Amino acid sequence: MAPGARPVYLRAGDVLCAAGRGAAAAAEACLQQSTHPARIEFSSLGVPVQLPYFRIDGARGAPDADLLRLARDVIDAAQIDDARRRRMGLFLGTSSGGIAQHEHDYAEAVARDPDALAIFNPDQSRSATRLYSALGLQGPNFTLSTACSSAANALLYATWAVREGHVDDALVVGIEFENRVSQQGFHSLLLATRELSRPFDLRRDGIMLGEGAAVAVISRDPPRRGPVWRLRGGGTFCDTTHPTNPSAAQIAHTIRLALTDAGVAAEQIGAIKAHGTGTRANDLSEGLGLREVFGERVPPFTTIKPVLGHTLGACGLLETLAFAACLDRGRIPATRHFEQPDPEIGIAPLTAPAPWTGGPVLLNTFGFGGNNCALVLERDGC
Amino acid sequence: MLKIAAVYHHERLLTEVSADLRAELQALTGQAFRRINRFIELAIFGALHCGRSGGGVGADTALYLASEAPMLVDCVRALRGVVAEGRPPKPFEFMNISGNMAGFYIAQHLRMSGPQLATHRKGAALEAVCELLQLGSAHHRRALLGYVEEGVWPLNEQRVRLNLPADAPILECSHWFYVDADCVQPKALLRVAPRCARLDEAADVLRQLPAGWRVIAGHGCGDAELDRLVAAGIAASGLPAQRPYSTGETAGLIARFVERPDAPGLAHLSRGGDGGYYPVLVQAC
Repeated sequence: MAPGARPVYLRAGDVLCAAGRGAAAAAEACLQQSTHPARIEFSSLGVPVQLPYFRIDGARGAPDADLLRLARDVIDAAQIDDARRRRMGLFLGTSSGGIAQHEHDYAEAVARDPDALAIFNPDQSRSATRLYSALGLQGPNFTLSTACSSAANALLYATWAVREGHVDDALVVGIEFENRVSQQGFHSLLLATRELSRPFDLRRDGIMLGEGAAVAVISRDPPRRGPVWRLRGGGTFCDTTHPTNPSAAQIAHTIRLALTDAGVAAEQIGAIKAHGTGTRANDLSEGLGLREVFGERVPPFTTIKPVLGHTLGACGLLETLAFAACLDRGRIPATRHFEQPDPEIGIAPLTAPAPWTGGPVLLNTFGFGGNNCALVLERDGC
Repeated sequence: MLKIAAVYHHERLLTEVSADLRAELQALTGQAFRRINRFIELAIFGALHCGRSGGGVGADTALYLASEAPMLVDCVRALRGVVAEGRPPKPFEFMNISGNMAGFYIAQHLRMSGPQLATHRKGAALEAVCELLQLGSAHHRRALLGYVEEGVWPLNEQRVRLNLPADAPILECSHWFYVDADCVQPKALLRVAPRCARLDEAADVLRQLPAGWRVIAGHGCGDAELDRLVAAGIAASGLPAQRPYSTGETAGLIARFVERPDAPGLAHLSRGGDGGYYPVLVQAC
């Protein structure tokens, strides 16, 4: 961040996830490791398949209405006057877009007519447009799709827009609602675990998916009460070495871009929320990438996906809010189900909650298509 | 102000049989791309042409890909599979729709090392990527901006899907701009004005233009908007009433103007799906 650049604050934020409603509930779940996945069933090549899946706790089957309510509450909590509310930018990150709604509509149509068409009025920005209209916004609006780093990129570009004065405030949204295409697609790619998500563990065998929604208001002004988190900056980068397997060197490069943009030295980082999906390839590359940047003194790191599920396009914001809420409680959560270190990775995440002693924090998010994004946040007074 | 160093536009009127784009791509690159879909083929095809017409792209080039309904064919196939046929998506079908794979393959082929983003905004997606590119914090000196829309067959089904008349002509497209902040002799300078909530706000922007600029009430604007602009003293013209369906017509129109300018500048006004008006101002160099 250039000297004298305008600071950007997390003014308010909240989530809907497997832990229920609220960043506080998500943080408690991460610290207590208290969530329980549902089991989903489908057939693949005639063979029945069961997979664990983290549904939103208390979901009412009305994603649009739930999202709108969440957004309204977050905007209210941000306590921004009406004129500034209308001018705020909307930055929405999603991987699957409106596929959940299309799937629902198509299933109903097929029940009536087996020859029904799938997907009417296709529009990847549908969720953003509906939210924008329902909230009466008039500022710029964007839908960003960079696979699992979609919401992280939405948060990063919103941060830059506020930092540069293009907008005073931005509503940042990450959404990923339950859909069969994603659930079964990761199974097709042999990337979904059938039992436990064990990121960084020697026995890790895949992702455990989940659904979630996260909304934040970021602003040129700090919140009026509560912890003050500043969005220091971040880096976004396309790793072209492989479409689905990130490279350690390019992860390291992305982290360095983020540190440079944030004006933070690697030695200052106090904690890391890793992407930590639980796949062989991601966790190996991420671990090696962290070692490349931090050497033998990798800060305490963890991943919260075994608690909340991998919420794909939403995870960049959902996990940011949940992780910040954990740190507000004075602790860095442990990595659930981690037991056996992987000698090839050479470093291990936290196996028990650790005291949070302050300093900027690094949050990693990586997606298919080489979509790497890393963010740096810092709490004032720490 | 974005300096446009190179441009490429590709449009194809769809017939009942799809053209073999894969063969054209192989002829262009000498490489057999595997496991990609038509949307990705179109994106690579346009981006490579644009990069070549600019004499190559810099290694630090970013990639911003705009679209309204990317990978629609694979999305339809995947939905049909999981809902109607009881089968999971095929691995590469799913991989392509769940990540911005078009951007990945372009970046890989052109050896680009910047970020790559897929961006959407109904009716104003190109404007959205231009707005994002104006953020200085992104540190881009160079970027490829593209707008891609793939053909979806059978056409009669696609017309139903889009609520079009049964005989409506449909285009597929891949329009690209190479933006280079260090370009000494740009073809054009492009600027997007902030979203206007009302048409009279957009008219105020258009009134500031130098003499001789072409003003087009374009994508999403109807006769009512055109009449109001003309009544406000702006010499605007509309798009032909009878024209093929394309969500990429703004990008195509701007690309053609940059390639062969017929006025000192072009101001294009589109109406987004959010109800706002988006002026794009292009000054020929």
